[in-house]
Amino acid sequence: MLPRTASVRSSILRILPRHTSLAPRSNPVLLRNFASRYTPPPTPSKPIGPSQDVLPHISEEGAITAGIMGGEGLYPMPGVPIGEMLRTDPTALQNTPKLFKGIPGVKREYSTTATPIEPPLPEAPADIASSTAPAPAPTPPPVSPDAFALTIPGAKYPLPKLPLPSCSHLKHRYSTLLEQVTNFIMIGGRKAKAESLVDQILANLRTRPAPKPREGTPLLPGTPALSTLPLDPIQYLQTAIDSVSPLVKILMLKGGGGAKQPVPYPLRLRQRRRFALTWISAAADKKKDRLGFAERFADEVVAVVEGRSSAWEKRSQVHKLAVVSRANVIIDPGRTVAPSKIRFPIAVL
Amino acid sequence: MVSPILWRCPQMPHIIYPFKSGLRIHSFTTTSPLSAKPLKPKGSPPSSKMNPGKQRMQSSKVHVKKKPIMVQKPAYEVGQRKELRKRIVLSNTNAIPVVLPTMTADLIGNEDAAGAMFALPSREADTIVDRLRALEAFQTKQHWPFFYRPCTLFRKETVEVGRLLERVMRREGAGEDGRVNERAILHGYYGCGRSMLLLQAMTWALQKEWVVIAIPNAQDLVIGHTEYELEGNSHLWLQKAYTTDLLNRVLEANQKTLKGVGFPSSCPARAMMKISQSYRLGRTDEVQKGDLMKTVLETAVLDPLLAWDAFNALLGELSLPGSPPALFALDNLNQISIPSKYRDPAFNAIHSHDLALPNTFLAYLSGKRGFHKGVTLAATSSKCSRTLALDAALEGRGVDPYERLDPRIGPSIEGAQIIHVDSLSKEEAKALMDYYNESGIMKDPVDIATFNEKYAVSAGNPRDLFGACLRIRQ
Repeated sequence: MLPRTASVRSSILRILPRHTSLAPRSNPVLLRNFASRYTPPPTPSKPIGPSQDVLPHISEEGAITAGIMGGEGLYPMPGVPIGEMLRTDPTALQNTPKLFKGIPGVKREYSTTATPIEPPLPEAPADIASSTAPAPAPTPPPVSPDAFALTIPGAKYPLPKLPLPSCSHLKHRYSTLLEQVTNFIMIGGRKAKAESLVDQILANLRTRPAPKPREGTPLLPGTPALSTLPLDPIQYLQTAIDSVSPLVKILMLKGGGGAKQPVPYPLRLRQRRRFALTWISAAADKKKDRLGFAERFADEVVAVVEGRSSAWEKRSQVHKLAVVSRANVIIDPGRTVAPSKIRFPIAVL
Repeated sequence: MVSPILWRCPQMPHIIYPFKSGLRIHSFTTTSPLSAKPLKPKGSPPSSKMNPGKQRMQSSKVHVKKKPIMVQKPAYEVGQRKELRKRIVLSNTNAIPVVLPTMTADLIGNEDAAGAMFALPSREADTIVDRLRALEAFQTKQHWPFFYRPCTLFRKETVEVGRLLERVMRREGAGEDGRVNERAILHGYYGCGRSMLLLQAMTWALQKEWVVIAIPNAQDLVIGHTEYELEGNSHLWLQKAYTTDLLNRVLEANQKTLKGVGFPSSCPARAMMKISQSYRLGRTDEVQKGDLMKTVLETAVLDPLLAWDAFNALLGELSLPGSPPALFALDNLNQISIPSKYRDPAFNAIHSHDLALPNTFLAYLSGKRGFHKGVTLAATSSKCSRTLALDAALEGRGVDPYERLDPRIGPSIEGAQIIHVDSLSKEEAKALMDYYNESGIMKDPVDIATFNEKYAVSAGNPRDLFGACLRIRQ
């Protein structure tokens, strides 16, 4: 088959108008370099001066010289501190420069690094240039966005600081945890109802007595003191949910011989929280007392923090099984994941 | 379609059209039908793993779904749900106690105190909070359970309510017979704090040893939940069971005043505690002149048949000279401005004003009856079906002949002062937010940005301000 050809109408080939300003572009990155034979190459900004000659340290140099001459060097070891030298050799003090006499053994507070000093350009000395040439127009100071915000005429408040905080978005006003809890509670898309239930849960957590700490409850490290939790109910809820959430789930995969074998599989944060929520609400629904949903749920959250919830047993069950079946973990060599994306320490299993 | 002539091409390219040769393509097959493969039988393709017999067997298998284990929960006891619903918690030990001045009776009508928070008197010797609780002045919607102790905001409307009490105490505007009666209706938008103003008025009245009679929710009177009977003389419907409850509350809240403990013996108020004339209670009982009012009420509380007469006796005694001042308060005035759920024997709806208790209250509110010294205070509510007649009356509009408005509503509140409860001013909102912050339940610091945001979101409405500061769902 012949190669396909395409005809191009001339009308397509015309230059499209570009939406660019007529002002010269100032961005140096976008400017194309202009090279000409007549233009001399640009001078390097900082020429290498004679003081930047690469020479070894003075004691090292002495040692090299001594090695060549076959005698003993001035100092047995290179890099002897000056203070030490002055203390051991009293005659050296006479020959030392004035600089070191006053401050023996003390580090200098100033730098003695040789910096190349550029000589003033011969054709335009500084004093002449300032007297004869017209003074260059003072460049306006760069306007920071804050200063600009304050100077909007007629505005009552300054512009908000950028970037906006994460909670300033209408649809993401609340923390991710609260949103997940709300959506978990929601039935049939009744979000307002779910939100008011979450409100009731938080109000319940606020007004209940503080949880009593119990030995052996594996709460998350970094949990604030339990007595302070009721005043921060979101933290309370988060402590409970993140503490009981499992690290892995167990998948039953078909292994060799047709038997199913348990394979632990790592979970992301959101998945872990969902498992915890399921267990907490299941435990809450089994309560014997006649309570409203919010009260039941809040009761169970307190029970989790106090370490007497059945959710803890479920969690330890999953973890035990995961440890037992850790040999079944599938590490897919074909699947390449950036090391930064790996959240789950497989070695823990 | 590629055009055959290329534009601006100096030389014609050699193009071959492969299908345009002399060879013709038929749109039909010329193969004999007999050599075609036989058609596949219709139905699902037989899979290698599963033979059809096995498949049929599987589909006919009945899946028995496990029933979820239902937890048997004990049934509610009688009145348990109502108790749960109406439980008032006034303290939260988790919250940080805030040191605030006490809301004393010196503050009545004090303009300088407006815009500050005050704690309700709750020292050990003081029983004001318990007495307010007996009067059901605290309500479940008022966010008491979040704070360490009950505190209220002193607003500019509080000053106006205080002025009413002040005028009665100073006997300003007393008639020839020395009677002073102040009548007012608190009116405003939802959540603007009308019930809270009633509470503040009651606090002051109790501190000043007034007799406080309060109907905490007028809805209870009209929804048809209590017994009722027609009284022949006045053609009014009595609610004796409710009246017994009311007297019980009055007795509990005003123990001190009814006993006359706090008064010196020379004070005429003490004399009032004894009945000035004999009253007939029920059909048989009678109380003699000189009996203690407290004992009359105590006997009436035990027997609902005597309650209405005892209540009338109490009101009658309060209208006599020398009696202590009285505060008659009613919340949710709207509820008694719509037809009640009660029915007469002909199954016609009974008008709310034909019920004896609302009728009595409205008589005091419209000035047909009066205390010797007293304040009658009502608060409208926004949780009620539309009351066009009351709205018109509150706005001062006359009844439009083309509108079918209830003609009895307007005269029932005639002459009452209407106190418009407005949204919070910025100072008041700041005081409230500082209180939330100091109590430790609002985490954000109250800086200018937070304050402006919350104030703008809530439009200065106290209920919405609480929601904006502390809730997800506002």
